[in-house]
Amino acid sequence: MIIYHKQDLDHTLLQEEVQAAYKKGCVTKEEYLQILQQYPSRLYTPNPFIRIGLFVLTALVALFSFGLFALLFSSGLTGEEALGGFCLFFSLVTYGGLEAFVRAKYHYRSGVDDALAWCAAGLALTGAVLVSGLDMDTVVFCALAAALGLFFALRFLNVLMGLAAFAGLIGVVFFALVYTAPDALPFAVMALSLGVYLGARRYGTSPYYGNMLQLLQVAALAMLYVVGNYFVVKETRNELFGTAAGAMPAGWLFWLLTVLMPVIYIYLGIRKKDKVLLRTGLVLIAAVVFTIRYYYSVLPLETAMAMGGAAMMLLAYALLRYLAVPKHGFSSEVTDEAETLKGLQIAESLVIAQTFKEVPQPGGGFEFGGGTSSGGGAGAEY
Amino acid sequence: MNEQLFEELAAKGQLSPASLRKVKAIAGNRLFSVHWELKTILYLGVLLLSGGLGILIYKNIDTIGHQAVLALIAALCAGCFYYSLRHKPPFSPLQTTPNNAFADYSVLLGCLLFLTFITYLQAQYNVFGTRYGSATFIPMLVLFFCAYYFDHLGVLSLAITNFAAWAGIAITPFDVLTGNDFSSHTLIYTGMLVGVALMVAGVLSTARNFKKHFTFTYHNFGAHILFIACLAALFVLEPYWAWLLLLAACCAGMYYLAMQARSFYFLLITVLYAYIGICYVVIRWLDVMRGGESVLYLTLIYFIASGIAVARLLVNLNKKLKKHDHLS
Repeated sequence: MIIYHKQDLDHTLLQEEVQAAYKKGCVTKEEYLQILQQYPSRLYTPNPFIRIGLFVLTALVALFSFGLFALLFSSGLTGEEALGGFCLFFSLVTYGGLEAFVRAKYHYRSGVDDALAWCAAGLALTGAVLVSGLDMDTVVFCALAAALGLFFALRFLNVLMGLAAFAGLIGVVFFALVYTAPDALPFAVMALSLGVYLGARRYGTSPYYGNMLQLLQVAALAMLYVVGNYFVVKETRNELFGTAAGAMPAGWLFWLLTVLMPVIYIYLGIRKKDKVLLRTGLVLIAAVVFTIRYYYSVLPLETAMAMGGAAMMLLAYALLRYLAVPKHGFSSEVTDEAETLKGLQIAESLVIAQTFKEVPQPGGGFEFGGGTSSGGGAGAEY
Repeated sequence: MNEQLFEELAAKGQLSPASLRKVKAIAGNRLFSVHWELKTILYLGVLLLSGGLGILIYKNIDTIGHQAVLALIAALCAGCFYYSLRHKPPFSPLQTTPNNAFADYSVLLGCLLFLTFITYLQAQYNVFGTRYGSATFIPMLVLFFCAYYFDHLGVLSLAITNFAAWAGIAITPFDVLTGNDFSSHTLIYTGMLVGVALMVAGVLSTARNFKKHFTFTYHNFGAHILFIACLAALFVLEPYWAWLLLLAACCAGMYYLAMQARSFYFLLITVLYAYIGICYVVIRWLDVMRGGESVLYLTLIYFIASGIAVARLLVNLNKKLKKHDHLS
């Protein structure tokens, strides 16, 4: 099923492992270089930034090629069916390009393969909708999306396609039940999410699909929480049925789920030392706060913010003090290697700059600082 | 790390027993680090607390309570700086490792509260007057000082955005395109000067080996605003070829810096900004011919061909940089 040769994938994984060990200073340079030579991999995986660039450029080329061919055949492209057929045809062309690139040039997570896969899948979906005369059942549409996502995820190890497949699957259940059995809907989606989560966790150590399954775990946990959240369930009902929705059955159950689930995630995350559970649970605490505040505003927003912020800082302070010496297998030390750490610190500083952009504004007319003196501003630091 | 894999390597004699021991020591360290989780909680705490206090002041500015709030802010601010000073490693022109994560965020909270305090003083008593943008200039100096004194990248980013705001432009990542009106000539020139100033600051940081690790932050903000200002000039001002030359010069400079710093990131943005500039000029030139459908075909073919060419260029640059990067 996987288009790549197993040996190439194995060697790439091994090279990554040994490189990580080398960067941590466990393996000597000679050993590292020798292992690289003895386990060669033909796969082409550029630096992540180059991957972004190649993704953008490939998508651009695919888009304009589509435009060029559409223009060439423009006389024949009248009506939705013809256009849909053209989309399907071009989807096949793109897919052929993808297969060729991977087979001949061994592109693996290079940006080119990602872009071509998304273009092929997108065109296939669009084409199918157009061919059906814009009258496709939503369930069928979601099922098609899920099938396409699954195919690209399995064959090309495309991580995000795995998420698309999951989204499609949720869509199928949602649209199948939303009008026939709206009361059972949350529980059906919860069961599905839980199943996907447990499955992804069970096979989480699979060498080729490891990353994808980890991301799926996060998505499934988040979905499991979202469909049990009081706000989501209530507002979706109101949106769909308006006043005809009536009182929500088992409201207390959803309140319980809203508040307890993140706590359970965090508890399990700590017990099992599972990063995915712990982090998802922490993020979902924000959802709990939002949901409660939406229906019951206990304090004015700013007071709640200030007090909550102070409480969080105190909590972090207490935990940092508590874990100053590692306890129960937990530590507050940085374990990332230098390069990753630098990236994380830069990301942190950018988040800070973006979120704290309150700048003292002078009252009245704003004057430009002027050019020459602005150069002096930075220079004065030296 | 996958222990089993390294054991197999060692069994085949490709890994010395000493290396295997080191690998096992690290892989066997089953400690679970919650460093980033705690840092995120701290960050959110600072975000909420400083935001909440800011709004409190704003809402109560005309009531009697505001002086109490103000006193609270001043006390908190002083407390934060006191704590950070007590727990800060001695000053060094090199990168220092903070003793604890809390002190790091205490600096940030102190700086933010200080900004709130200044804003209040300015709004209520107009302490700094309205001349020469001094209301933004003084906080900027304080922020730069704190960034260097406490060795704090986050505060440095705040200082840089404050510097740009003082000059009259927004350079925070999500506002650089939406928050500025690039049809204004003054703004374009200001953007270029801010960009050049930041680039120079970054180059000097490295050259003088003074807080070398700040270079990336200076260059990141500087490069984007410089390139965007150049592109805006190319689109808006005449004659366009003069600005194209400037853009080319900037790209050449950035290319040199990116190669020196071995930065794939700067290489990528240089190539993409250059490509945008070239595309604009080509489209403009094609439009001059006004040839109807044939021009449309030409344009499409141009984009396909140039897209492939630039992709190949990226692949080659990746190879080149990787060779340089090969475990020096």
